Amino acid sequence: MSKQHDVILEMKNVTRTFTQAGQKINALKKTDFTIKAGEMVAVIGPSGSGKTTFLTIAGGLQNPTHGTVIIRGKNITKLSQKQLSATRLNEVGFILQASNLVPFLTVEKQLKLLDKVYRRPTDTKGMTTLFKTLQIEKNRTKYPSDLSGGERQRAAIAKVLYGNSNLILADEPTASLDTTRAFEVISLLAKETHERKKATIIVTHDERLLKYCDAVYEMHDGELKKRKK
Amino acid sequence: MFLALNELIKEKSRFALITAVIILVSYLVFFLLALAYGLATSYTKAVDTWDADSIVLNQNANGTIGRSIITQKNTSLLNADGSATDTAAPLGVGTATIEKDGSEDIALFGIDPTSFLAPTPIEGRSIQNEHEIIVSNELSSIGIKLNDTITLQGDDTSYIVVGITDNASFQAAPVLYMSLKDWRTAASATSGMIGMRDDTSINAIVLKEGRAVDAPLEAQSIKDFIYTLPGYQAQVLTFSLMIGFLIGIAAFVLAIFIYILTLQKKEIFGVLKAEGVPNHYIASSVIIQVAILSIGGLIIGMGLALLTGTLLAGKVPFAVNPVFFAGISFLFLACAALGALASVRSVTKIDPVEAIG
Ligand SMILES: Nc1ncnc2c1ncn2[C@@H]1O[C@H](COP(=O)(O)OP(=O)(O)OP(=O)(O)O)[C@@H](O)[C@H]1O
Ligand SMILES: [Mg+2]
Repeated sequence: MSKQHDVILEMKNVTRTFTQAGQKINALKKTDFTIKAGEMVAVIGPSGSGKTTFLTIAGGLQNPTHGTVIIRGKNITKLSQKQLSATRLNEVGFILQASNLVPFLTVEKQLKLLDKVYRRPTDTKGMTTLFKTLQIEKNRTKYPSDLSGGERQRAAIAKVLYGNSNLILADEPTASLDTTRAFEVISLLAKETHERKKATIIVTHDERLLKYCDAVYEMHDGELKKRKK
Repeated sequence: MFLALNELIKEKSRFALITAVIILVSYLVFFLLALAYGLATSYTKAVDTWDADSIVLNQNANGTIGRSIITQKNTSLLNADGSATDTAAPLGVGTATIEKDGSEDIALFGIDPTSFLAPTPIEGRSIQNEHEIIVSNELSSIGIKLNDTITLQGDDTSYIVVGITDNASFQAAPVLYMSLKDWRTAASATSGMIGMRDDTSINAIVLKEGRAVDAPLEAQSIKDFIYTLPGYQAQVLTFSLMIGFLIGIAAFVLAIFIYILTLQKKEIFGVLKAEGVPNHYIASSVIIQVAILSIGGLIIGMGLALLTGTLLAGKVPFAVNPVFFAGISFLFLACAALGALASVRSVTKIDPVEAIG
């Protein structure tokens, strides 16, 4: 990775307002945010405070009302839907609370789908390494419905790591897991983030997971603040 | 391709059910179509083999061939002795009942055996002498075969079958061909109106090439003639409507099926779109699935219909018109494509934010 793209995501003066029934909702107030390669940060905050809004703007799923979002040096706020879609494909990986696996594809084929979309050959070795690291080797040919919640989340992580994404956005990835499993998944994610020089943002409610993160941000009524260590 | 095929593999039973519905519907449509077409052609098969341009009837017959009487003094279309020219041939029609192992109502055609109306025998030879006849092969069902001697109800004359021909039915009855001279005797005898005999009367003159004719005669195109055959129009219309509606409804159901199938996957597609999978990739997957299901179902359904037709051959008037079959296949696929397009539209409209938020 080149030096100038050490900063993976930069948000400047970003706001997001929704108008509903004539009322303005400031879902995200003026926000500045930066994350570098190899960093994993957490965003915590009460329900309705604007965490998902923040995450979807960071990932190019919706445009901010004001401000700019820059992913690896490229301003994505002025892009067309098609260009945004391509940016998401190439730069961003999502891990969701409800698993974002395709129900009719086996774990292995979830990853192969990416190869098809990218039109690139399958990296069988890389895939096997990933499955081994994430301890889902034995689940390769299983369908998502036959996996446990933890296995499903690890498969989703495998999918994101197998893609090209430099920016990993996770919205409550551990909500459906018990504490032990949640710790496992998060520590794995932290390890992969550091080793593969990804930038990861995790939205979570669980204070106990924060120790795995390099920084913690708190969201309150649309205001994002860094928590002092 | 990857998405489409893998889903087909995973959801085998669901897709098998949908394909089964498409198969059954197309089976029904194709089978009914072939039946209706078979019935319609059994009205006109003999007429179709003439390959003629028009038919001349007496004006006063109002287009009904049985009521039309033409005598020698009415026309100069034929030779002076009443025989056929290269482009004009005399025709007498009638109905009679033939008896052998069973009895069957037939259409009597009196022709000039040297004219273009003479049937081509698939077995035996053409008519050369008095009391020689050629019959439709359909009559084999009551045991009539080559060289048999038969009589008609109400007529004492014995006729000998010198030829068998195919594609010979008129108004759904098998045709019996005889010379005009024999026909005049037979037609008046079987109808019990011997007094009506006239040595020159015929019902119609069939023309190879269109030509103006003088009163009291009137020319009519073969197409119009067929259309005004009693019962033909009503039957064709009824069947056309029935099959038309059936196809319309079936195609609509197919389109809806496909649309619902896509809607069910809205969430999955939303997640894929959030991940940056382009619209066209998802859309082509939908289209490939539709193509596989509808083309596969259509071909199997058509195959079943043809198989049934072969198994029931001779028992029902089953006839395949390739043009109609192709047309209906096309309509079907077009409707499936419409369903697919509506689905693709709904895919492009999915907002990926909703999949995440
Ligand atoms: N599309 C929208 N239209 C109108 N209001 C919206 C929309 N999306 C979000 N909001 C509002 O913005 C605010 C922030 O929502 P957001 O989903 O970001 O909260 P959150 O922090 O993710 O909450 P939770 O922890 O419950 O997931 C809420 O008040 C919500 O009602
Ligand atoms: Mg949320």
